Amino acid sequence: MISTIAQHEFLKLFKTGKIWKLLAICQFILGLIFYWLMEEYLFKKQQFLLENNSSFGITEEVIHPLLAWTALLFFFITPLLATHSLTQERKTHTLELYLTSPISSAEIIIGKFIGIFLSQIFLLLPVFLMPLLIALQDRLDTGQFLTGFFGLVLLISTNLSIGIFIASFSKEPLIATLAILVSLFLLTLLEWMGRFLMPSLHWVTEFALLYHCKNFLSGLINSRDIIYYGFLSFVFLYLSIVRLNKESHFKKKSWNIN
Amino acid sequence: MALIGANGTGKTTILNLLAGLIYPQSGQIFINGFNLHLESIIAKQHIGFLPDPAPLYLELTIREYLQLVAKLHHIPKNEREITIDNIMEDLHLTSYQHYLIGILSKGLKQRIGIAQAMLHSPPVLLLDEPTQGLDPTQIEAFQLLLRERKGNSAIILSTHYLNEVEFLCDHIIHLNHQDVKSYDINHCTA
Repeated sequence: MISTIAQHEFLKLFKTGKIWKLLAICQFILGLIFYWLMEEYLFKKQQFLLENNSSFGITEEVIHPLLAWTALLFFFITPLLATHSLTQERKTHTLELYLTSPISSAEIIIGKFIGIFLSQIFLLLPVFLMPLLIALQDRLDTGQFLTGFFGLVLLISTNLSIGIFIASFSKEPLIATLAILVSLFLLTLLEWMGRFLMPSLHWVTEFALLYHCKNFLSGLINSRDIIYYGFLSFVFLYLSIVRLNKESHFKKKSWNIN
Repeated sequence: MALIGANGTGKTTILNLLAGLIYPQSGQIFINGFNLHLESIIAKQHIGFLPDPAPLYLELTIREYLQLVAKLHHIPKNEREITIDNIMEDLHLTSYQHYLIGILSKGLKQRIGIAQAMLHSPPVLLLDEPTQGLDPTQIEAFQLLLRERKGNSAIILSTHYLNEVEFLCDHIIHLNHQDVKSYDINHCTA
């Protein structure tokens, strides 16, 4: 049943045209960033060549920041897609089809999560094309790129599970989108707060969303980072399931049946 | 069984309670002997529900939508297409099966909603104002279809039309803001 819901979620995004619009916007922005990074890299490279310095890596100079920008861009894309999963369905009353079918809340939430997660991966795939272009002309650190990509996938899955949890509370897509956006940025700002605003609370940086992506972007796989993303994804998906289970308890009207 | 009464007396709320969309503050609901909240998945297998408005995915065609509903109700793969063909034929939807739901008229959308509720031949059929938006010919066809299914399913519907109640129902529950009255249609007149 999970696969049915996931397939439906995935195809629904294509049929409504939402994914194509996001893909176009995504590629336009990332294309501009890539162009800008390449231009800067080529300029720097000319200077380095003049100074006979050969230790200048394109992966570190172009791919690393490109993936970091992609991560930032998906902070805006995830709320839109997460809202589409539950809030929009609640508003159009289609969620009732799932809630009155013989399927569990876990199947609904996990199915929706997988469907939207796969659509986000689809949006991410063209990011591969840019490093491929580089690989044709220059030496690319494939390991670092793939590790960075893996980190990005983990970050996106965590953002999505947080998004689905918040979306499960609201009936208004706009409010849900803003709430998810604010939550994701607050979780990112923890790093800045721990470092600069409250140095005595330095440990809060450990809970920041992007903090754990940095190792991946540098080509390092740290089990602590994987556990962090895995744990957050699990917790928020679990909470979303609990919330959906209690959906009927939160309805405004309730009757006594005796 | 018909639920009748003025707007705001609780007809839809009762149907939502029976469909498991609202949790009762006290008491329990059993569908075919299964507790709706403790054994919800088994209990919901026995329910077909048409809410108001019908839960339709406007970006799907009628066939795609009914295929999704069939999967959600665990209709075996080998029976799925035949079941969908039959219900579309019963509700005169076959000629529109490849149309996107979003472009169809209100009456057709209501018929698709009825189709999704009846697709898996549930023993308990809950219909919230099922004939709303249908033209007189469609109402007649739908009422005949419901009458055919009366022997196999317990049908609970909310309606404002007394001729529909007379034609389809054996029992009436009349709701008003003060109290609830129950009538057996064979022994009294509404």
